[in-house]
Amino acid sequence: MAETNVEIYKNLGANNQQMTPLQILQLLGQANNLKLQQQNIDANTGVAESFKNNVNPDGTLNYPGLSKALAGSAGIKAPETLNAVVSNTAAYNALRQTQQDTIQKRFGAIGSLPNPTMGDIYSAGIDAMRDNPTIPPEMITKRIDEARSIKDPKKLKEWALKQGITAPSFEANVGETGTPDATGAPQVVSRGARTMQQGGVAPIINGAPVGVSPSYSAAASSEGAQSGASANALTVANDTSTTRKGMLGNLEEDLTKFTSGPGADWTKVAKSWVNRNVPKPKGWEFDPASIAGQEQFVKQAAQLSQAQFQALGGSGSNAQFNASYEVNPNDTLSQLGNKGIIRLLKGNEDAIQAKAKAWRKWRRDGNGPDTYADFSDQFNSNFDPRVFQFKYIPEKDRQEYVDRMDPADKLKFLTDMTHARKQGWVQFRPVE
Amino acid sequence: MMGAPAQQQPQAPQVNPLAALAGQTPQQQQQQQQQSPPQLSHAQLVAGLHKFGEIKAAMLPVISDPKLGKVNIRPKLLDATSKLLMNKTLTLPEIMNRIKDLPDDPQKQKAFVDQIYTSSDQAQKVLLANAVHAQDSEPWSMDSHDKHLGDFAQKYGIR
Repeated sequence: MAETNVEIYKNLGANNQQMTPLQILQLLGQANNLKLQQQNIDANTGVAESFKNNVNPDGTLNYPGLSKALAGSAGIKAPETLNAVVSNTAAYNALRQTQQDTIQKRFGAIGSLPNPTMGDIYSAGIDAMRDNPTIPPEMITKRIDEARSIKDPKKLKEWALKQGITAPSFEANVGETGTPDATGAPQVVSRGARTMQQGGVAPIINGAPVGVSPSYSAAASSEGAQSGASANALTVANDTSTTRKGMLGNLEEDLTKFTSGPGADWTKVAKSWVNRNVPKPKGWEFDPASIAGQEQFVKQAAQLSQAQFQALGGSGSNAQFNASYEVNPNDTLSQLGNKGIIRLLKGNEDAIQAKAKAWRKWRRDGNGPDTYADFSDQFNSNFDPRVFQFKYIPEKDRQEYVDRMDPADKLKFLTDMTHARKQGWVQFRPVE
Repeated sequence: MMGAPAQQQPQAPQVNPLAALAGQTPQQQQQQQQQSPPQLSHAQLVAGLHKFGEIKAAMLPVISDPKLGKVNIRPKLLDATSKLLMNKTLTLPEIMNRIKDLPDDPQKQKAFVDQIYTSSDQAQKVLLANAVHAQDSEPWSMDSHDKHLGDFAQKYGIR
């Protein structure tokens, strides 16, 4: 019988030959088990820290921050936890939408009262909570405080109308009688005429919205309808933006893992996507499950970027990018490389969220729903998509990125970035 | 800023903002906490929200004053509470019972005023969280406010 060659075990301290090869293998197995246990412990710690560091002051979770933290800290548990977060993000967004709908419906209805009072505001808040007990009370107290600060009853009525002006659903209540007209006959009040694509709440008497300025009436005109449709497209895009960003994060991880270096296997990108089993948000045309190679990825990315730019009302103020993108979006994106493409798509989601937030502020400042075109022109005049992509560039590469621009382009970029930071559209932290 | 205060337990945590405003001790609050929340009518809820809203509105100019925490704001606070007295949100004994605890140190005054505002805000949130149990009732109005507020205070054991 051949002697067992124990040379290979010398480094394992088997020189004394009191440990058999089997014992050595068992020891190795135990060492591997310990290593796996440590990985699990580290991953669990990473998951716990990620959750702990991403709780908002109101107790809700910061899903984008959580996704990013988990991707970096959750180790071997990152894929399953991220999947759960993305699923929860979609559910969370759906829940927030129902809460927003309920609040808009209840507070918007006050705008139809002839002389709303704070008692009506309180009642609306109570009714909203009864309709939807998941609403965080601070969403109601915030509105109560806003209403309370309005002393003029007419302005309170306008405030209430604004709360409900974009309510997605408001049941028609045709035939409800309103105050009598000059002959003493009650006028027919129809509630819920859809003055904008997404829905309107102003009651209409004899064809004109009650208690609103002529500019609100203009929202019913074709120009106003266009304004409403554009604002609606931005709002709809914003509602699922966080979910899309989470999914782009997943895709970025898959691209890095499966498509770099020799032996790149795009089929694994598709398989990983299918395995995540995460429902696509509404309007998400991107289908990683059908990507079989670089070309399809660029094509799909181009389609998504077109949808994003459509929601944004244009591809921004970067003339060079615009010129190239309009001629051939696929080629333009190809030149960015896969990482650059993901940065563009993620940056556009940030821009959608920033523009939606800016639009809400524009409205709160007293501008009507028919002024979206003016708002959009103002926003887009300083909107450079590269500003929103910038934070996804590693810090050490940012200077080079800027230095590669020609002087005029660099000046425009830095001006737009300064503007974006002042507006609070972007903040720069260490690399994401 | 409601009701007569019981023994002062300055270091104990505030459990129920509504009871805290009544000056109940934490032990009294915990005893009340063990019982389920009172069943309030819609009008009683509005009355409660209105009362705490008035307190917040009165405190807001004091909190927003940049001199808060730096100078003595007793005159400004008294001015704010006098408005609450004039619109009958609080009675004189209620105001005097709380104001007598106002510290002299500006920094402590800031904490005092913040606590009043925060407690009122928390009280509104507690009421809203209980709104799902609200029973339908006669509508609230300023004319019936005192009646509903009295019923509300009684259910919370504040008066």
